[in-house]
Amino acid sequence: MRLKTPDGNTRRTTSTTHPAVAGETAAPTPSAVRVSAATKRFDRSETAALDDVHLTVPAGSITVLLGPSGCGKTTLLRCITGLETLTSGRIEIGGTDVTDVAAEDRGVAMVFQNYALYPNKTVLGNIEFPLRMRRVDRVARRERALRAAELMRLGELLDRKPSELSGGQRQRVGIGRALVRDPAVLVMDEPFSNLDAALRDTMRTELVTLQRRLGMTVVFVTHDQVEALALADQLVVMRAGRIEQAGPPEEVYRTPATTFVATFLDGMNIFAAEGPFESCSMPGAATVGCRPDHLRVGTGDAADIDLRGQVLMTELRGRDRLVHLDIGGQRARMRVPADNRPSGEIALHVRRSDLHYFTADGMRRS
Amino acid sequence: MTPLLDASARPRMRTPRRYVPTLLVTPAATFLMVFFIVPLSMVAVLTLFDYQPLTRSVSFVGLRNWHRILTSPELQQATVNTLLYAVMTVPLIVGVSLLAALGIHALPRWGALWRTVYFLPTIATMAAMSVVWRWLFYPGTGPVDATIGRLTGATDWLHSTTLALPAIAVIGSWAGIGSSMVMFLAGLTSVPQHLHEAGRLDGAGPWHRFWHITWPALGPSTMFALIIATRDALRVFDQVHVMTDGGPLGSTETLADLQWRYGVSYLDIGSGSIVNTVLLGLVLVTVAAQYLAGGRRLERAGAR
Repeated sequence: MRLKTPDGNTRRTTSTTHPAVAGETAAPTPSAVRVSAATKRFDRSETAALDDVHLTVPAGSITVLLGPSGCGKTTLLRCITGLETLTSGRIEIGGTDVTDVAAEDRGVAMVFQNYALYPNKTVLGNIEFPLRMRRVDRVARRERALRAAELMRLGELLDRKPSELSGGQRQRVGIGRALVRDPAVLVMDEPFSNLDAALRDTMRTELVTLQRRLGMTVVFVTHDQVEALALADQLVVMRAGRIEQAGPPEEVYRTPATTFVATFLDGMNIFAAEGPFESCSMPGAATVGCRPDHLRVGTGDAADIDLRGQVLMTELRGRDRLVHLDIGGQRARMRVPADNRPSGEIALHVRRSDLHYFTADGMRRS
Repeated sequence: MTPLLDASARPRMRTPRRYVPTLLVTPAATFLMVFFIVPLSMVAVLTLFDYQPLTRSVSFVGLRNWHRILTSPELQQATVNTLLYAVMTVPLIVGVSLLAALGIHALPRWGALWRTVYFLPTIATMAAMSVVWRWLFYPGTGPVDATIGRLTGATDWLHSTTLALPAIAVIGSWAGIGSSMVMFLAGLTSVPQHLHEAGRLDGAGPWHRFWHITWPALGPSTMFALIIATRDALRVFDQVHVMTDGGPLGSTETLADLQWRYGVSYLDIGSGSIVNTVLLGLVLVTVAAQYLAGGRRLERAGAR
């Protein structure tokens, strides 16, 4: 599967294989992951952690699972690794059914949120460990570990213990340890959420660069929508054990399938389809949504809907300012340039074409 | 109106800050002085005197007590017995309690029950338990002779010069496993679950996960269990005193029991004090040696 950007180009190819980690003999073959009808129930729990989940992760691309805590994204990830077993359903990796295959035999490597490095081993010892467990001989092992360390820019730190590393360095070791055995699939469970904002940005860039070089299949879990949009080839939004929407990030952002997806990604404003919105509403739509960027100050023309709003507070967000409004008793947010400081009661408008329509049970209508 | 945070308006602290550490240290320091330093100094002084508690006569004898006791076969045998006892019990206690802790930790349920079962001997009174064990070892009809004795021919343990010390060691191990197991259990709960998961995904089987993840993390627990077990072994007294009273033919005489015999039974305070000092020195040297040999490595390995 190839994913298209708006300008019609393929974003990433699936076949670029870099020999950095693989060596000459074992070229990494990225595998697709297919999850079908996956259901997971934990003991003593009424609700299903995963409820009939169907998902295809294309080989050689980044799929991001996004959702609030408790939505099942980590459970799904752990089921793919084999650390959890499905109550029912099926998981295939590279076309092989691995539903009943033990975690260590699935060829899946994982990067953990809290790094999970072996505290008594050095950086090199950590990276070598998976090869050691797989009885790769000493010379080849050392060579591959050094290459992975080089790739993660850990060359200077090989003899350090994890406790002597910074958070970013630790996570680079974690990624190096995962990559060293050329996994069919690399899964990452909120790997950057313990890092500070600047470092998170850097690591994100590094990860995408690396993924492009090595052509790995990556499943990435996060609750951070900015991270999700930045990384994803395929974005999967989850809620309460189910997939709300899956698709290219541009598409998910532009045409959210439900009000949940709409509000979770960049906080779309949702209004009841009444009052000023009644005239424009389409049949069957109970709510109307518009992005904070699409609310504009001042009165509009015939193609626009005019609104009046009371400014409650404003937050500076760097280049922009987020304005919290009360529009006819409903809360809304608007993004304006930072030097605009609206206050009191103001006139607003929104273009009809920027509106999204949803039914009473939150499904997209259009 | 006075501003709230005006320093001059605050009530002056009655105790200047620099006295606070002293105040905090005082209770512990007092305890240490009264119950350790002073008695130890008194014992050291008493070794140099011939003190008769009944007649209240005291005479300075210098190092004559030392010369007499250090060259006596009793002290030598007691030292050998004590060390033998430690060699028999310490590895057994540390090994078995580690296995028990690993087993209990892996149990999906009833963990608390088993923990209690293994810990009960530790909270039971050793002297009372020794009476029970003496019955278990009763010649001919006791359960030990009726089973092991019948199978192997090794009977009447407590009256055998070769089997009495092992019998004492069995009881000491039985009593010592509980506390050391609790230390291991505490250590096991501190091993993060995600390390085991990382290990599994890295292809490590149960043995390798134990050896590369659990065991290093248990470093401090192991060290602590080892030191406590050794210290307890070197000071073994209760079951010796109750079950064999050092016999037969001094084959179970330990330093702590010899100290009791000299100091309390014979009212030879000087000799008792010397045995006491020797025992203290032995404990200190052994623990220091253990700490230097394994301590630093184990402590650091467990650091996260």
